[in-house]
Amino acid sequence: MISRLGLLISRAFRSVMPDPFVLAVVLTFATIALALLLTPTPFPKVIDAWSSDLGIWSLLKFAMQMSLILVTGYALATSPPVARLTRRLAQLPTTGANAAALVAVLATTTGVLNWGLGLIVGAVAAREVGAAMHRKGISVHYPLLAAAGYLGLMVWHGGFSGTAPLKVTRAADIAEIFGATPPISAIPLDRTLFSPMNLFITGGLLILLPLIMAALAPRDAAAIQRAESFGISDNDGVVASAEPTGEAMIANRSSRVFWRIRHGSRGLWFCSSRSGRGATTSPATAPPASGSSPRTPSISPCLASACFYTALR
Amino acid sequence: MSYVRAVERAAKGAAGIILQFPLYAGIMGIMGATGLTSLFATSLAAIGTGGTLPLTTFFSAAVVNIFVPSGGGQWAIQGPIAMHSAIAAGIDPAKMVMAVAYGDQLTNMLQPFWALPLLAITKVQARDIVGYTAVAMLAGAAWIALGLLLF
Repeated sequence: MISRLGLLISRAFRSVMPDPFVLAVVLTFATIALALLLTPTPFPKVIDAWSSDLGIWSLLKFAMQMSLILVTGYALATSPPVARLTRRLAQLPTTGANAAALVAVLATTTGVLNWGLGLIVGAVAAREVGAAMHRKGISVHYPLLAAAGYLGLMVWHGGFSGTAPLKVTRAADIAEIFGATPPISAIPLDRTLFSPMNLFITGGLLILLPLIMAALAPRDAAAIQRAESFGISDNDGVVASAEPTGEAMIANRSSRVFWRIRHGSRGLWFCSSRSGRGATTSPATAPPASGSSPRTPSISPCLASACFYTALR
Repeated sequence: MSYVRAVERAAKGAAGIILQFPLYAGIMGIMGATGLTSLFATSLAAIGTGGTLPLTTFFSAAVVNIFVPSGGGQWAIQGPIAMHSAIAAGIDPAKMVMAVAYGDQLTNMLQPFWALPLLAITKVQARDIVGYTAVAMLAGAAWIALGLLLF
């Protein structure tokens, strides 16, 4: 029943969901209209706010970082160790339902560790599992895998890179909110991230979301859109053997370059309980590394990218 | 060099980021400078009294996130409002921090901003996945609301 409901909702959204660019334009005009209607701001001031350095140009740095997430994430996905790992993982699912659940588990657990890691692991896992199921001849609804790969962004703020809970651990940030004599002191993580409430909510989401993805898997063969119809196939999949070494080797090397860039200042991101702080501040103000060195060449690209993502936001 | 070729291929997927991030930055600029975010946050939070304040803050953060997808940007504007209203209503500020956090992440499932790299890597369109992520969002909203009421 849930799977049929899912198809219905999916079709409804497909017909009304605009292209993301159209949505951004519509939201821009809606915001201008709301600002004029609901606040006493005159029109020229609204346009000033839009075009100032705090407006359209305020995300320049972040936009470049997101572009690098995309480009280095692609390189990471084509690196041999990740390809081997995903190939092994992608062997596990035997049905469309547990394929979707697997992608959801990977996206949400890594999303709790770090939002950027969750985003890229989710995307790569969706693509790889889609290609692997195609290889195994099992029909899987590929859009559902991609949706499952995005779920990390629904759990990240209750996780270790969560901006709000990390921000309030610093007295300086509390003082910024309340002024010189704040009525409360800094809020430690055991009252936010490690509170029984968050363990209940985020822990519950980690179980609930994969189950929902599994339940949404369409049973009707006619409704299934396979990975190949989106141009993802054995020849194109990132673990594909079509261009086995060249790109992958170089990708590996490039990840090591990133490793070196990040290594000096940061170290193993998950060894540091405060590492998520990097997600809220600029890399320059990030706390010093807890320190470690790359272990084996096979895991260093993953670590390098992880370190790189931690420095964002 | 094949690394450069790999980057060239991946860079095609960055078109969405190049085109849309300035637009969202512009929206954030207007929301902040005109006081629209404060207005949203305070008027929605004002509906809540005492026990339901975390819940209304959660939903107002979910609405604000559609316009201001960046978690850091949203906290900068909505965080102070949530903290001040927590003190005024005698609610644990730590709980309000998490209420804003949950609202911020919830509507990412409707808002394709964060999905742009994923869409490029998986080659699907936003409209292919949004129905399924919307179902996840509704279930997640119910679960989070339950958690905010129970604890």
